[in-house]
Formats: sequence, C-alpha cells, structure tokens
Amino acid sequence: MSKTRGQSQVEFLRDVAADGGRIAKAEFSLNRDMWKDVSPTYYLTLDQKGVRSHQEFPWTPELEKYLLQAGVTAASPEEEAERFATILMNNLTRAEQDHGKDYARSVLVDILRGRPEYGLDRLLARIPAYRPSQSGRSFAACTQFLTTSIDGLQNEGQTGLRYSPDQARDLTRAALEILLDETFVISSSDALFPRS
Amino acid sequence: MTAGERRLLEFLGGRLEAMLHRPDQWGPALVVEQLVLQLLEMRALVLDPAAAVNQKQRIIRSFVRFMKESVPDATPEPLAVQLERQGRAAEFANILRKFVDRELIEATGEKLQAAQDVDQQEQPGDPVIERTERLVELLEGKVKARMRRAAPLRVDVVDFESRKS
Repeated sequence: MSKTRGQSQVEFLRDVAADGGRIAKAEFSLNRDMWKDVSPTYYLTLDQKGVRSHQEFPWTPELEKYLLQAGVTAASPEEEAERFATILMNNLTRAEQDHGKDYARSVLVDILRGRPEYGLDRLLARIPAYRPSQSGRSFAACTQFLTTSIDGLQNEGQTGLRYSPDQARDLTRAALEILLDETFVISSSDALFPRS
Repeated sequence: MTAGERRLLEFLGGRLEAMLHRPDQWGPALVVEQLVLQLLEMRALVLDPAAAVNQKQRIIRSFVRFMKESVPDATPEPLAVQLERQGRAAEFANILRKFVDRELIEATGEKLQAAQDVDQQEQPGDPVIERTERLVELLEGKVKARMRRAAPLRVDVVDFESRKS
C-alpha cells in the first residue's frame, strides 16, 4: 500500500532529525482567497548541518501531529492563529462527515454561543443557524468531539507549544474567528454584497 | 463559467446532497420536497439562463411524470403527501433521490444533445458553446461527487485526547 502524503512528509522530517537536522523556522499560511478553497501550507526552513533550505509542505493532519508533538511554533501569532484555524477546520470536516454538514455546523455554533469568553458574538450574530436537534446520539457525540477539538487545541497551545494561558486563549479565539468566517463565508459575503 | 457561477453550482449541488442525505433535518417531507424542487430550478437557471422562464414548468412536469411511474395510483399531489397516505413515508428520501439523479442526467443529456446539433462552425463565445462548457464542467463535478459518495475519504483527526494535561 502506498504512503499518504502526510506519511511521506513525516518520514522526511524524521530522517532530517535523525541526521542531526532541525526545523529552524516554521512559517504557515492558509492562503485565503475569496474565490477558492483555502490551501493551508507550511513553509519550513530546515537546518541540516549548517545548510539551510526552504521547503513547502501542504498541510496534512499527519504533518500537524508531528509538528505539535515536536513543539514547533509558527513564526508569528497571526500565522499561529491560521494554523489553529486549519486544525479546527479539519476536525469540523470530520464531524461533517460523521454527522452531516449542516448538523455539525449548527452544533459548532451552538457550542460557541455558550462560550462568551471567546467574544464571538458579532460573528455568531451573522450566522443563520438553527439550534441543532438534541435528541439522539449524534448531538452528544458531535458536541463532545467538537468541544474536545477546541479545548484540546487551546490546551495544546499551553502544554505543547508553551504559550501562556492568555496567549493560548487569544490564539484559539482568533482561530475560531477564522473558522466561522471561512465556514459561513462572512467576509466574502460582505465583499460581494456590501451592507449599507 | 465564472468562478461565482461555479461556486453557486457547487453550493446548490452540496445543498441538494445534504437534503437527500438527511431530509429529516431540513423539516417535514413536504417542505423538503419543495426545497429540492426549488434548488433544481435554481441550478437549471444557472446552467441555462436563457431557458429560465420555462424551467419551473419543465421540472414540475418532469416530476409529475416521474411520480406516475414511481407511485402506484399516483395523484397530482406532492410526493410526500401520497407516500404518507400509502404508508410508505420511509421511502420518501430514496424516491426523491431517484428523481433528482434522473433529472440531473436527463436535463444535462438533453442540453448536450441540443448543443451537438449546432453547426460545427459556431465561434467561441457563442451562448450554446458556453452552455456546453458549463455542462461538461458540471458532469465532471457530478462524477467526482459520485466517487466521493462511493468511497468517501475519511478525514484524519488532529486528536488531542491523548495529550491532555
């Protein structure tokens, strides 16, 4: 069975590390564009025995897990927020696969409406999502999965990436703003159909 | 086809799929039936604006024909109402999906045939050629969507459960 792109990326970085190399700098961009899907990408500067090279890695869950495990932080808070948003988008996609797209999205909105600490009221007010049906196992499973994704990410920001609690919360908040904006096409709608 | 039109078609296709996949999350069957028909009309409008005036009647006519074939003792009532009365409400989503699939294939096929009948010397920019290009793009999207449905790729989760402090 052939390797996935993520497996190949991780294998390459493990080989670099095994040879005494290291990731000198990790830049990240979601490459947001009004007309296209985002294309999250890492731009890694590798230091291999004093020789530096700049390499581009399309984001994959496997690569992300490896970089989190290695405690690699992004080059700036803005890039870190986009990286966090990518993780949340990935996990939301999984929830959409498991529970249906619109249902998973309405559960996400429901969770965030109960989290005033993130200050997302302005964006949440723009989203015409119905309250999700709470009967059945889907609600509990989907809520738990998405809650764990959000809380786990913020926690990882502190424990794995060594941000302060305030920094980790701010990054998570910025990531959630991006997630909502991309998922519910808010900025694009404003650009296309300006409100008077 | 412009990027905006493509995005709109993707949205309409995704919304149709979502409704057929979990119709109960979109409301009563009667509402879902109306919504699906409206989405098909909007899709037809994007694909062929010039024929938009007659699209609604065409789709409704096609739906009535389909019901006559699919529902024993069909009446000129909504599908949801007829199935409910016959104790076959559970079959609603499947039957509606058959209509949508057939509608997409038939409507696209008819337009392709019409385009093929056009004089070969049509110039680029001709509305018929543009329409054909739209349909080809749409068919490609349809094939991809079917492949995804047949073997959906599971997204690998970035899991934090094991690293909780």
